[in-house]
Amino acid sequence: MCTGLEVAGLVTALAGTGLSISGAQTASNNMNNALKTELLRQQGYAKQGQSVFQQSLQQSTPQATKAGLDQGTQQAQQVQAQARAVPLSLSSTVGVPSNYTNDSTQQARTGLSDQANAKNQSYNAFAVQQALRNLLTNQQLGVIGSQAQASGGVLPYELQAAQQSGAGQQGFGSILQSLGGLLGTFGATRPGNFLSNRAMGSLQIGGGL
Amino acid sequence: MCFGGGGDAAGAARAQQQAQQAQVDQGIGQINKAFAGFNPQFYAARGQAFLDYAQPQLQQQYQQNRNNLLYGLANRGLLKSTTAGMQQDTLKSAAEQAQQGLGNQALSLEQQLQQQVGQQQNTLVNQAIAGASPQSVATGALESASQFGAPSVLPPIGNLFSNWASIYNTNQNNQLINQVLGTLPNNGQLGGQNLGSSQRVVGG
Repeated sequence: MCTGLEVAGLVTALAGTGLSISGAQTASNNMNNALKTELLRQQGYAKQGQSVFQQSLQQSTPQATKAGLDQGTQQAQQVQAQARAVPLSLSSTVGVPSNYTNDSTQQARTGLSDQANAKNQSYNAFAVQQALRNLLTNQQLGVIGSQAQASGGVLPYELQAAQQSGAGQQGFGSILQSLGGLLGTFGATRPGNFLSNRAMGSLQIGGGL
Repeated sequence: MCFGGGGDAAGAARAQQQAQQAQVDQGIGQINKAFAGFNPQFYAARGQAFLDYAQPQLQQQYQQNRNNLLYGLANRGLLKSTTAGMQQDTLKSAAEQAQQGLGNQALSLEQQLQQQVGQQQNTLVNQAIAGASPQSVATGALESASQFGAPSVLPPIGNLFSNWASIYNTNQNNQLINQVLGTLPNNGQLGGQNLGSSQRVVGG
């Protein structure tokens, strides 16, 4: 027969076990949540990085390259026009003839030369712009990368905290388990109960004989 | 507490990380603000400043070379000859090429400055990422921006007509040599025979 104390011990031990399991489950859930949250954050950073990369990639397409070269040509032509803005004081004021070329031929030749030069310069201008764009892209990726790294660096601490979040319940459960065990043992071994148990054992032995 | 004390530390670490992220964003914002004035107009002004500096020198060099040419022609009595016209045209071509060269140099200076500004901005952003406080990053950005904004030493343009002058002088010397050789009794015949036979051998 079970006494009240034995039952109480059993109930207490069971409650302790339940609390321990619940504590372990809480810790496990919290760890999972911390990991999931960090994964979402990292996904966000990865998305940002992808977006920056895609933008950079779009600036390297043949169309973008052509547009960049055209822009470079325009810029070079603008500077050439500025360089030509102050006219050279060329005139035959002292009566020196200019038979070799007339002014319109010279102007056409200069115009063609400027045009070709501007096109040639556009490749350099495009390369410079491309280098600057790459610098900016690397800068943005660097910022995103460092933030992702810093965010990931906090995760071990958050996991540790999550692991400890069920420690209270688990500790209390362990105490209850121990207490239940003690109560059960005490109930089973207390003097009155011990004698009655022995008597029942004798009766059973006698009955058996 | 005995249990669950790590949560506060982790929360503090997360808060610190977010604060640092905000600091980096703030620092980059301040850098961008300080460098906002470096637009295409600014770089174009750099090129124009170089041209403003170089063009009078080009005019001066052109005038000097033109004077030398005209004095030389006048000395030989060739001032109103076809040769005079041709030589003046070659000088004009050289001057126009020099103008084009100055334009290229102006463009190159614009690009150099743009690259320097870009590099400096990048350095400051890296400093912001590395953990410099937004205040120090902002100060650095303003200092750099003012450095680039200030007038810099312009490169010397050098002798823009050196090629033309070299060719002109060589021609002058050749003419002089020919004149001297022309006075010798057997010069024309010997030179002409040798050159002629050599050309025939190569051609055959």
